[in-house]
Amino acid sequence: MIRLLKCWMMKLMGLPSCDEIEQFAYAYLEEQLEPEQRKKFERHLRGCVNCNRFIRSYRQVAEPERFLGKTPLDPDFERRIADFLKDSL
Amino acid sequence: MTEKTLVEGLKQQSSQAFEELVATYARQLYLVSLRILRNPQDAEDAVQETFLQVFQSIQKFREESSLFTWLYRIVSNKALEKLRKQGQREVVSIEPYLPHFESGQLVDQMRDWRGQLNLGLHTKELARFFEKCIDELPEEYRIPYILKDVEKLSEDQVCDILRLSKPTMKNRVHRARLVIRKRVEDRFFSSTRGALAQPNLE
Repeated sequence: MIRLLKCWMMKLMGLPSCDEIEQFAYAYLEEQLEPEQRKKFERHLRGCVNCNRFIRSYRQVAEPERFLGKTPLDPDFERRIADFLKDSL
Repeated sequence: MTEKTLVEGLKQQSSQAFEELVATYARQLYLVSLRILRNPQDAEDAVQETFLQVFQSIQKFREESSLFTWLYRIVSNKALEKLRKQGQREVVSIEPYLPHFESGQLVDQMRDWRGQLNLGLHTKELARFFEKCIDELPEEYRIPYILKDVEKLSEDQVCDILRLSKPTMKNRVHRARLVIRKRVEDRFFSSTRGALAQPNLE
């Protein structure tokens, strides 16, 4: 019931619904929403804890460098590649 | 050396151009290859084969795409060929990890990741599980995600490399993010009072 009420309120205010937040999450993060759409998107986020958390965690996944760390590279790697090519060509 | 000069040099079989090509691109190609294959030796082999193919077929390179795109396309294909030859790898079905809605509202209760991430708890386990989530994505979602979000290539570059339309590429990256998000949340952030769920890593 509360869910339906919230949905109705969002619609009444001309704001996107939760499923539209999911649908446009990519465009929001990549800054591809029109300014007016973006404003409405962010108003929804301010009024909806669940979507707010969703977008925050979605952003973390879209910026995985925080989790993945740096890949160690062998300093001899390029020399090995160059040697291989000399031998092969 | 500009890309145009480099391509001209390669077409004239200039050794300086070959050296420049390796110096400029070997590491980037290795990183993407390693991300796909997860094995340093196989990744290095894929890079060697990529350069070999470039040198052998540079005369046919018509410069319709950039050299960068061409190299990435070759190395991705080489890495994927190797992966397929290695046989079945564990892949998850994406459907169970997509958000569920009822009357336009999210059914799933989202967790707040902030406090727990800031505490830096379980960092290594989280990193390992995150890698696992990427590895277990179906190939059509995994490769666009790696190129776009891990390697930070532009949308146009990813589309060119994978020969995908922009809406398809965006949709696949989006779905990959949804799956990883949900799996990480279920594993690490699913307790009810904000404390970290105990990771159960195999």
